[in-house]
Amino acid sequence: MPGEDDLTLLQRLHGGDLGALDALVTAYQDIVVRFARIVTLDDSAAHDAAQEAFVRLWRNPRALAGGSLRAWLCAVARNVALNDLRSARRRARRQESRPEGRATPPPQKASDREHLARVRAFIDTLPEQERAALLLYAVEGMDQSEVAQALGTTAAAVKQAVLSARRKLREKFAESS
Amino acid sequence: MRHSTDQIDDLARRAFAREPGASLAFGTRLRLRIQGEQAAARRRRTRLIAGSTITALAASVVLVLVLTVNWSRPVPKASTQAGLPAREVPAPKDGPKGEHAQPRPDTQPEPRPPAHSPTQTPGERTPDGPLPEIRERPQPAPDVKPEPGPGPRQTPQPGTEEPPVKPAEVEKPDPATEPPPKTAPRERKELGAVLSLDRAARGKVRYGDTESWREFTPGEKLLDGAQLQAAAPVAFNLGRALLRFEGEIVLHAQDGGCRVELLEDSLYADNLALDLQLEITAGELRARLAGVATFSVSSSGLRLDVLHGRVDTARGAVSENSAALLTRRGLTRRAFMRDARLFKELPSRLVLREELETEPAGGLYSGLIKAGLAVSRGGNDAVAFKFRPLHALLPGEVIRVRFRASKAKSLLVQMFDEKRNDNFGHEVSSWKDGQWQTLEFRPAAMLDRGSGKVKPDVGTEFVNFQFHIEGAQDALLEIDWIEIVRVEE
Repeated sequence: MPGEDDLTLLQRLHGGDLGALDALVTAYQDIVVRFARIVTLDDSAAHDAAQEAFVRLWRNPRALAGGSLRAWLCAVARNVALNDLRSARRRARRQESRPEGRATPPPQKASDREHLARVRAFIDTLPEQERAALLLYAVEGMDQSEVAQALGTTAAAVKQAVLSARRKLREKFAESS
Repeated sequence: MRHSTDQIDDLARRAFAREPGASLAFGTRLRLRIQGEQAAARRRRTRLIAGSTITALAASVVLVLVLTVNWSRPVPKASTQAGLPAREVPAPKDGPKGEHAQPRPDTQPEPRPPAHSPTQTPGERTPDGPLPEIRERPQPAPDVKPEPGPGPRQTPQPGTEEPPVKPAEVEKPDPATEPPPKTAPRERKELGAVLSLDRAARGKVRYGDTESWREFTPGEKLLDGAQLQAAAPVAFNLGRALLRFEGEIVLHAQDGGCRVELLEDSLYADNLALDLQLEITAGELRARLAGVATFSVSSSGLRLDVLHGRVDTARGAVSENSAALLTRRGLTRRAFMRDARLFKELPSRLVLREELETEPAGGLYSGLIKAGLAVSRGGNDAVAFKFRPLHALLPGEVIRVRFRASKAKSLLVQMFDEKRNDNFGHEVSSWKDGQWQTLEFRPAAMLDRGSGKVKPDVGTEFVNFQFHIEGAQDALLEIDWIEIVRVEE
């Protein structure tokens, strides 16, 4: 269920109070944009998708029937982003900027920042479901049911995706600390 | 070494730690879009209401006509044929059989034809357009009202001035030819105008998200709510303040000045010694400028480089020749970048111009106005007038005076600083007797008359302008115009 504050804000938003929307945007814009970015691998597309999610919330604050508001926002942003990604043009652009999985250099001794950049780049090469699940579960701290709501899947599938992502990360970066 | 699950999660968290969230402009863009959608919805509602009203009126008219025709019509003789006279449906004798096959053409409902007659031809009908909306809009007042400049003597912008339109000359717009509302925003306050732009700038403007972008050119007037985009620096004025930007900004009028929302990239702003309040915002970050500074927005925050004066924020102030990064958490000092691109290649602009066709606003207290010239006769006299408001010295200022002097031994320009209680002066070193010429000098290089060593500081407020002539008894000084221009330092 949405938190009490979220519920109050949603009720105010339903009453036409744009201040409530501002509060919700301030609270969730970062997570929604980060999540959309991990889905699209494109900053501009991520912002577009996140904006669309908030606009849809503004248009219909009662669309959230239950569950977590942030998960709902993530789910809408993901759907929007994936729909947009189906266009060939954006796909082509995305492919250009997307690092190839096999091109990721093997872990070497390097500064911490470089190492983390490599880890981040490697995460981008994971399947969409795995990297999204990893971000929401391991980084943003959502529970499995929330992640499942955001990804439109089951908690078991989320668990599997997170395990798979962890395994790949472990294999790739086992040599480095 | 193997990583535990916690370590892997920690690795992922650290990898994402530097990942930025939403851009600073995210909330602003969202609000703009929502405002645009709300405006579009309001317009749709208005059209719908207007359409419904017109339809209802048309239906009422038709109903009245139907009733009138039926009641006033003489009763036909062959009333048994549904009231239709036989002459109205002549059955051709030699027509094809099929045409006669209709059993009773006259038995079709009759009262319909009168109902159609008044509105049968589209050209004769009441227009379907939203009449109430059209009647509401023919008020061009926002476009012709005087500029809301900060001072009483707004400096003219060459090429951007339009002669005021007398109310009597305003034609009522023809509903058929009136432009769509999006190009004529109502009641938007005029804030300034575009001064110059690089060809590569591809400057675009729109008013609200529902409008499409269109290109602008130098001289384009900027109204409240203008959203501007440019790929290279574009300079514009807000009253007497100069701004320059590349990226994307939105202008908002507010009491005593203007708020500039920086959505992308960088902005240069200069309101030094002006009474125009200038607030620069990037998302929820706010900065108030009194001076000259550049502002750059990025995912890390709003960077401020202050060249003159100061910038105030909720987290503290940034003084001149220093820089800082303003974030949601606070203000972090940065190395000042004097060479910022926007500090360079600034367009020169007019600060003040006195044509001397009539007395200046502050009043001419020495000399007289004659035939569009300010004239001073005599061996020891001057043309002198007061500034109103006081003129504050700005960086890069140049004073130009077009004058003619006859039988003069010396010429001296002076401006009085009330705080020092002393004049600053510039002695004219050479001139051609009896010929029109233009004197040009930097007021910042003038020296005080007391010690002859002190120069005025930026921000020094001058009370008056005096042009002295010393010479023969019949010496003559004529001044055509005086202007103060700011050029790049």
